[in-house]
Amino acid sequence: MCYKMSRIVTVCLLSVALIFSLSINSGAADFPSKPVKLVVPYGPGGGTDTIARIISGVIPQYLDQPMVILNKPGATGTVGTAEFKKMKADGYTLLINDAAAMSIKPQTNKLPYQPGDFKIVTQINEAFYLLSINADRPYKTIGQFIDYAKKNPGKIKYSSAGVGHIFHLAMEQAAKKAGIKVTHVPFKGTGKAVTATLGGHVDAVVCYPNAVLEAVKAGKLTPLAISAEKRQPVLPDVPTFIESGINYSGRGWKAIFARKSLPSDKYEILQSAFLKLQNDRAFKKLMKGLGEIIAVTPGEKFEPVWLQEYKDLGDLLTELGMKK
Amino acid sequence: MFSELVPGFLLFFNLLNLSFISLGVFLGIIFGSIPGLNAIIGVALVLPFTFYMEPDTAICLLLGIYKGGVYAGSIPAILLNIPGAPEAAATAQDGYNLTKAGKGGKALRASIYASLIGNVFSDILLIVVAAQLAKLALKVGPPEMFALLLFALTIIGAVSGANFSKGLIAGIAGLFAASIGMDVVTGVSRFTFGIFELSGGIPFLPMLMGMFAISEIFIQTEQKIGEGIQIHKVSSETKADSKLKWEEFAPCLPSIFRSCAVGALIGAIPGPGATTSAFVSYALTRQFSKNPEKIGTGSIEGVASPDAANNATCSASLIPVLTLGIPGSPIAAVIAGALLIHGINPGPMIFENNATLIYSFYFGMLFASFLVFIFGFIAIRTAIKAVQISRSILFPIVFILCFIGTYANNSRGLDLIIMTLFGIVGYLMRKSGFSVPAFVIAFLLGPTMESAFKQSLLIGDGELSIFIHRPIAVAFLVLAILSAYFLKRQRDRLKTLGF
Amino acid sequence: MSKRSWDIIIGCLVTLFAVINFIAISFQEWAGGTGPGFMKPEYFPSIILVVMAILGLTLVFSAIFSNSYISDIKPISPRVMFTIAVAIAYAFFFEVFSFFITTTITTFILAFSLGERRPVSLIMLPFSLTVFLYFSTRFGLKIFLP
Repeated sequence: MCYKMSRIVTVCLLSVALIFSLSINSGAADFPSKPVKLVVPYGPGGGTDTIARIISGVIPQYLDQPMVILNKPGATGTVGTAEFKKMKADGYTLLINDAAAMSIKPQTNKLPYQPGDFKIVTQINEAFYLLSINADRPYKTIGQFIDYAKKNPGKIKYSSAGVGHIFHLAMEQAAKKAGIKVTHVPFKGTGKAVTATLGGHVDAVVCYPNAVLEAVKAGKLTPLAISAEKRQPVLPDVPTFIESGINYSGRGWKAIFARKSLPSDKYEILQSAFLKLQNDRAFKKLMKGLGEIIAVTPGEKFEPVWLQEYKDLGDLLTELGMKK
Repeated sequence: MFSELVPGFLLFFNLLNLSFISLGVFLGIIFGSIPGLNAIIGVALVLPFTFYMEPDTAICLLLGIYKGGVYAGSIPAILLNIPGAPEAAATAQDGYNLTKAGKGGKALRASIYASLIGNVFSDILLIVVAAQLAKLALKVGPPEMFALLLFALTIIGAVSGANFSKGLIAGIAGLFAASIGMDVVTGVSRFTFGIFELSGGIPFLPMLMGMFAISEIFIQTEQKIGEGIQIHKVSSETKADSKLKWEEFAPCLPSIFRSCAVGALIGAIPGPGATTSAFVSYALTRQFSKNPEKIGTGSIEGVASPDAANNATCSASLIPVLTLGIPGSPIAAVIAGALLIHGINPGPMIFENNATLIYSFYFGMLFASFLVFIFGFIAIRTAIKAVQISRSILFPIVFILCFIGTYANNSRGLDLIIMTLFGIVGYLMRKSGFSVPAFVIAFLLGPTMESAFKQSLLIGDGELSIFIHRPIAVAFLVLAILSAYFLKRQRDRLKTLGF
Repeated sequence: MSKRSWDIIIGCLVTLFAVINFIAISFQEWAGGTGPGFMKPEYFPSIILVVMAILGLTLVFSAIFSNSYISDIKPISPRVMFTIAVAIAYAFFFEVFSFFITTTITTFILAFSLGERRPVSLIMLPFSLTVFLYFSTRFGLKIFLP
């Protein structure tokens, strides 16, 4: 008979719920009038996902609507991006992504989307590539590293988060500019690449600084060079590649994308909300904890940078024989 | 080291933390027991809320969800043969057979005791030897990983069921299925048959839910209306069948401790997760138990050992992130993210900079383990009552829950289609005598084995001799050979016994 | 159908599958930087497929020559096929039609096919389950069902 009771309870819930749902959808002609979804083309717990969750915690005050995260992992962010392309361009769904799926993969794999399908709302952050080595290796500075590599071509093994990933290409570019030959050992993700380096199975790793910061502080990894144009506050003792005589600089970034066909009035409302993140105290504090550099640049200013990078990477990929 | 014990305890022991741990365990148990939903979803969901909490409270909440979620998957696995979480799939085998025999209460109790032992074991391991264990885990590079996985793959033999060649086919099919999608080392997509969505590979959770849960539902519908499995008699008439006696549990202790060790080791290595450790320890139990023929047909040991292993992996998977700053599993990554956001940097320095917090973290872990134990009993009681509902109501509900739970992960319709397809595959496999666990183990281990092999060759400059130059790799290779040998002996022994 | 013939069929299918894929993969062109032989994307899958073909043949032969086949396989009952069809339809239409419609209909059909005949339950269950799930996922999990 508690069976009958539970049925009665459910009917009550039903009616309450119906009333609730009616009240949500009534009125509100303003945009946005319902929660905005942010597609994260990676699984939970990754760097992109954590940043997305920080954004989703902070931006509702500027949008007057909650933000919901949708994880759609697969194939270095391409599967999620392809799904995003199929979603309605009504401004209620956005994508956060980085160069791997937006600049590199479209040129190495056959994908159902291309960069022209999207436009950037705002950039979110920028990050530089750090080359670090296992602290037990005989070479301790970037100069010694290059000397060793020149004497032993191909002997130095470096790890990265995967083939065709930003880190792999960054290192190949730097190696080319330095005139050395190193062997790439790809892993699935930065975590495993760093672990392999810590364990001494490979000699070096290329990744974002925040992945190795703690190991560096503990003296287990030695940072050799960073790909920025000037030294970074997070590791002030680490020279840049340029300083060390290698004419290489590069940066990674994450940005919020919308479909190209998004109407411009909605685009502007979304953009102005995201731009406010630049000065938001909570956002700054949370991102600082992660070790991220905030760079909320409006889409119009960042898109040319993105497209230029796309072109440059295309040339590099052709040289490496990776262009499709 | 112990100077921080008392301050750590005081930091932890306040009403707020205690309530959040309880909330976490409660949520974790709910998430874990719904097929398709897991601890990772729960943890990712509450992450934004943790930004505004103190670090120790945030950690309490996340730990509670994690531990609750990992345990609770066993509940529907035992009662319905439908795992609530992938790591419980191995528990379903024996657990459900026990339920069919009217001993479901016994199985549930075995599961909860084993889970407690697994949890506390790796909590203590984390507290006492985290740093050393991490150093050990670092020594596992690609060659060692390859050898380890090869050893683990020979384990398939132990779960391939009656027909060895069918088990091998199931395993090979699993390896093939796993190679669909983008390859780590070369970056190209294989076997996607033109379907772009498959370039990420066959998603693991829908596949597992299909093979275990949906196929089970299909099997259930085979039975005539009126005839039915003894769900109503989960606790049977006699009290003896629902309670667990020490005499029944004690013989399982060696298996349990072995499973704890396996689970902790696998957890400490970044990469393979709780599901792998549950299956590997299940297979090891089958290999080394005194009554191998009973495993798989409804033995307490077969329930206790995978549960001990997957809960041991729980805390152990936090070891790489705490000691090295490298997350070994997605949940560890979320917890690391939560710490970072609060300005606490996981890694070797954390023991010096935030010793008090670490100690409160340890207390939180132990407390969560015990809370899972206590809440678990309540969950068991509720679950037993819940499955007493008439089958024609229960199964549609479970069916829909599987779909919703799986959809909740990535909001992808394709996941549901894959789940259903694998439900059909699993159903056909089970009807024809092919081992589903063999397929799943091979699917889990195959890709990592392939990339480990290629990475090893890259490190070794293309020479196969790299495998011989690494002592740990050699040790695992020898183990693999021994395991294959013992396996053959076991099978012959079982054959003569008539199994 | 006897277990023996079923096993033979499966063995043949497995071998056929392996052979077809092996041929397909040998002619596949891969873009991207490849390296030494073991690095080629088709290296491992080829090994897998060859072993699969051998195992398929082993199964066929052991099925033909074995003495341990006793019983027959229970045929797939129409009720199971019906459930399978319902499951497939539900999976396909889940995102096409609204969650309310698909889930309500599916729950109703399943409950009916499993033997539920009480009209109150038959009507109440689909509706209450659907509504409960919709709102708990929407507000609890922040997942939007179609």
